[in-house]
Amino acid sequence: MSTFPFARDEAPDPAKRRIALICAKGGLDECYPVLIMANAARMTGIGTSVFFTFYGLDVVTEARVEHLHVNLVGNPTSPLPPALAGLPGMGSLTTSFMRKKLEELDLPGPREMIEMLSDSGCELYACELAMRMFERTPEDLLPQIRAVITATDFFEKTAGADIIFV
Amino acid sequence: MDAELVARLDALQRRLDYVVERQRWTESLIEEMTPVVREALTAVSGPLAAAEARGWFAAARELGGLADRLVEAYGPDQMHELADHLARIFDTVKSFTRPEVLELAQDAAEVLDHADDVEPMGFSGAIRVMRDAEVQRGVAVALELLRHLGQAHEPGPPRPDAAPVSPGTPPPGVPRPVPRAPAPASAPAPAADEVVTWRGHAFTPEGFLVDPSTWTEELAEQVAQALGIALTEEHWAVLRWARADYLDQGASPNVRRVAAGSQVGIRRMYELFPRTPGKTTAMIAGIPKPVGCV
Repeated sequence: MSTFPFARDEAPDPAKRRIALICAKGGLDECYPVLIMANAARMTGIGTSVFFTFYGLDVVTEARVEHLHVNLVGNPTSPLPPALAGLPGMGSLTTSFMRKKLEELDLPGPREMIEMLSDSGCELYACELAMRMFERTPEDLLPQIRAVITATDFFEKTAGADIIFV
Repeated sequence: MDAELVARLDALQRRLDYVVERQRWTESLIEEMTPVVREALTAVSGPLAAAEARGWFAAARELGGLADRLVEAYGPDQMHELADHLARIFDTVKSFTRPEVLELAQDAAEVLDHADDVEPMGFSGAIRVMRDAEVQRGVAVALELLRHLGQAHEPGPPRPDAAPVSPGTPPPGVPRPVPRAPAPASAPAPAADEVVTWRGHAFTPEGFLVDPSTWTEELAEQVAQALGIALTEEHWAVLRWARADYLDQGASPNVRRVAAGSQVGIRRMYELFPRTPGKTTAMIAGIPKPVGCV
């Protein structure tokens, strides 16, 4: 009766349970799962790192983060038939629709999600090779990015974590 | 003695002769009948093969399977009901076999036979074709048929075997508008056998106070101490805001909401209530476990 039902020892330990998410896609619909999963992991007391690479780099690029798009073409689960998905304006239409939906659900935008992740102690990294490929400098990135590192560095930093490629 | 033997042998001889004679008859009969039988067999097998080619046997087999399925799927009552409907079914069949209806069906089949020759038609083509008087009449007939179909689906006594069709119900396949999901509520109250009592208060197995109204500041201190947190005035500001928000909204706020509402910020929340700030805040503030992942 004297011990509290939820003993502190049972609490999740971010040092013991870790996940490493790899965000390789920059679509609005493609980056949200990463951001939400990372945030939920932090809220659950899981140590979390995210590696932004290839088009995922857009999510943490200052000039791009506000302009992430939903890409319908080549998306097998797109609500639009393929013949319509490629029409001009369809992407913008779907993007604004999704933005509205996210707002209705009280989900913050990508920039605020990145800020939240950083504040909650999630480690955010940008891919060094992708930076060179897209000719970006660390100044182009959001200030929440902890460092520009190589994939090898990332795997070394996240040793023991569960790797999740999104 | 000998005379008797001779007589017997003689009788035997006569019988043998008779048997041999019959054998000869039979042979000649078979000889004569063979071509006839062959012809007859050919005559019969011809129509049989034709029937086979026309799928009669397959159809018969299918009918057998259908009967099996009928017996399996329908009870005696339903079969009885079916029998009651037979008269109507026959009426329908009769009206379907009227010469004009059959002619229409034949026409339709002919059109389908030549479907390969029909050119694909766009919207403007369809409009153009609408000028044709025959097409206009056909459309009118089709619309009339559709109207009758619609009338058949007007609200009547609901059929017990079919889903009830109300006037406003869209046809199957069209999803109904989904009502907006309610705001995330707090975790549901646990069952009585899932309650842990600690310091005179009931807690869920996860450590959340079952009845938030029984919370006291003293209990908060005790829980915080059990969790290894020494409460400061900064903690208290967060806890009071979270409690007030719960009482106001009826749902526990998550970290983001608490951080914004109490103006502490997310980073500080993770420092004040380490590891799981949302859950820990709710636990100490005596409110249910917050739901939601952002």
